[in-house]
Amino acid sequence: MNRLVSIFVGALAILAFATLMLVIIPGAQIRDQAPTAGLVDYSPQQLAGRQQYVSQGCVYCHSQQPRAAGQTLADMAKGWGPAPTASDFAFDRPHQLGTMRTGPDLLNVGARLPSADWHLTHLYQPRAIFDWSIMPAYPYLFKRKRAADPGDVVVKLPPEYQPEGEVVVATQEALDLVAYLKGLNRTYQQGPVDERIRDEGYALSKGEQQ
Amino acid sequence: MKKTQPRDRPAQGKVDETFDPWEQVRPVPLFVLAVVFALAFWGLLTYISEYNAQKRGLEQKAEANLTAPVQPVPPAEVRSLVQAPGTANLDAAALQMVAVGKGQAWSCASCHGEAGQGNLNTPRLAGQPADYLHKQLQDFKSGLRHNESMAFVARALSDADMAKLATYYAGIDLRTRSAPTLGGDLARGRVIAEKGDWKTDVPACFSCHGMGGEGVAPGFPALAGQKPDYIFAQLTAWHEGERKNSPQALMEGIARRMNVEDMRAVADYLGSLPPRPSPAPAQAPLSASTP
Repeated sequence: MNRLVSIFVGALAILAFATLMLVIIPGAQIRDQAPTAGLVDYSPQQLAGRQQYVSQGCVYCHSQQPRAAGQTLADMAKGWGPAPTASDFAFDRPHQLGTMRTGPDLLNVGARLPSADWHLTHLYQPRAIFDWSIMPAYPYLFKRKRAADPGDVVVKLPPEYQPEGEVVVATQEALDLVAYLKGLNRTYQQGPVDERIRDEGYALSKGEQQ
Repeated sequence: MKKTQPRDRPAQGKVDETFDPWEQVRPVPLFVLAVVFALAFWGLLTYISEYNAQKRGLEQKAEANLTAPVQPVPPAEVRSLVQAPGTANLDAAALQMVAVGKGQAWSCASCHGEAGQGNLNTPRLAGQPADYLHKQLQDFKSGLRHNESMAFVARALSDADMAKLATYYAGIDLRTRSAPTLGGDLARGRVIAEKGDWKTDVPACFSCHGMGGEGVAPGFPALAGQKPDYIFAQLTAWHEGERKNSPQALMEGIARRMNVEDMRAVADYLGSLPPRPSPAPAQAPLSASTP
């Protein structure tokens, strides 16, 4: 161990190289990328809903990154939509990419499930729709009332989940969260630049084909 | 025990205990050190500038939030129903179900779009044969076709409701095509749609679904203009035995013999076709992404 200095410097150099290749260069490549044409910034209500998404910990079970066809066709077969590029997350700070797929990918949930009523039912009690679902229910985002006031959004529930003599109405938090989920839609047509920088896994690039 | 000493080794007494003949003092070149520290410094600067930019952005956004009034969400019942072109015999009960829903059932339009155009794996309903739509709703209710969300809706519908909805959606004449979204080989898709692949006993799609994929009542749904993601999802579902409500198990067998690249190709090709065959197919506008 009498080459401590060189070991230390070597380790530092490796770390610096890895930082350069994995953090700094990719960061420099994408930091000035304009948002994808067609991508709309979140509305104030959607931002409030996004805050709910973060604080309820949705990211622990739901990813927001469907994989490209070159990686797998499984995401496509589930209707999760096209694979995104970095520019599709221009307004996401911090991003909610997620790593866990305990639940389905949600990046395009606003396109495949645009129904606010569906989301309200599902958030109040996922088992009302999917009897096998392991998603937690979020009853605290809802209120039970004898009768709905004007302006209240009543949650549609099957008889077995309908409280006796009461209606379930959504709180502002639930409505915000649903507004955010409905806004998750990256199915617009992506430009050639986005096509070029998309990670296509092991698929042959356009030049290599044929 | 006597050790044999090589001749060229110095005598024991003269050896410096700390001397190591293979390890020499090689100072790290200043250049490498400089590079390492420069990289570290660059990384630090990048981090600081990113951090500041992010902080500024968040502050601006917070200000924007304070100034912009939060829009109250209108009640779910208040929805503007875009009158779909070419709808005849509009039935009040059907319109109610389409726009507002019935009982526990969410409205049809809330997922399938105001003109029944669909998106991703939520299918397009506009212009499908009424009998086909009616049978699918019945199958969702009976469990013959498996989809939890549609089963939830179908449980709230009577058979008469289903017939009304099927007629409503069959009557919508929507001429939009779907842009290919799957990156499939369109030329290969065309071959399968028009000629099939007889090496693997896959018949042409058009031999049953109509010469332009426009659907053939009562049993064969329209494929032209359908969402590619939906066609692909259904083909894989047939392939895996997840969906099995086809008359005489036709699609089960065909899809089982198809490979996944062909499914992808044919889904993209069929979606890009104009929904009704017309003398000049180029007239049909390519559908923009749904709202």
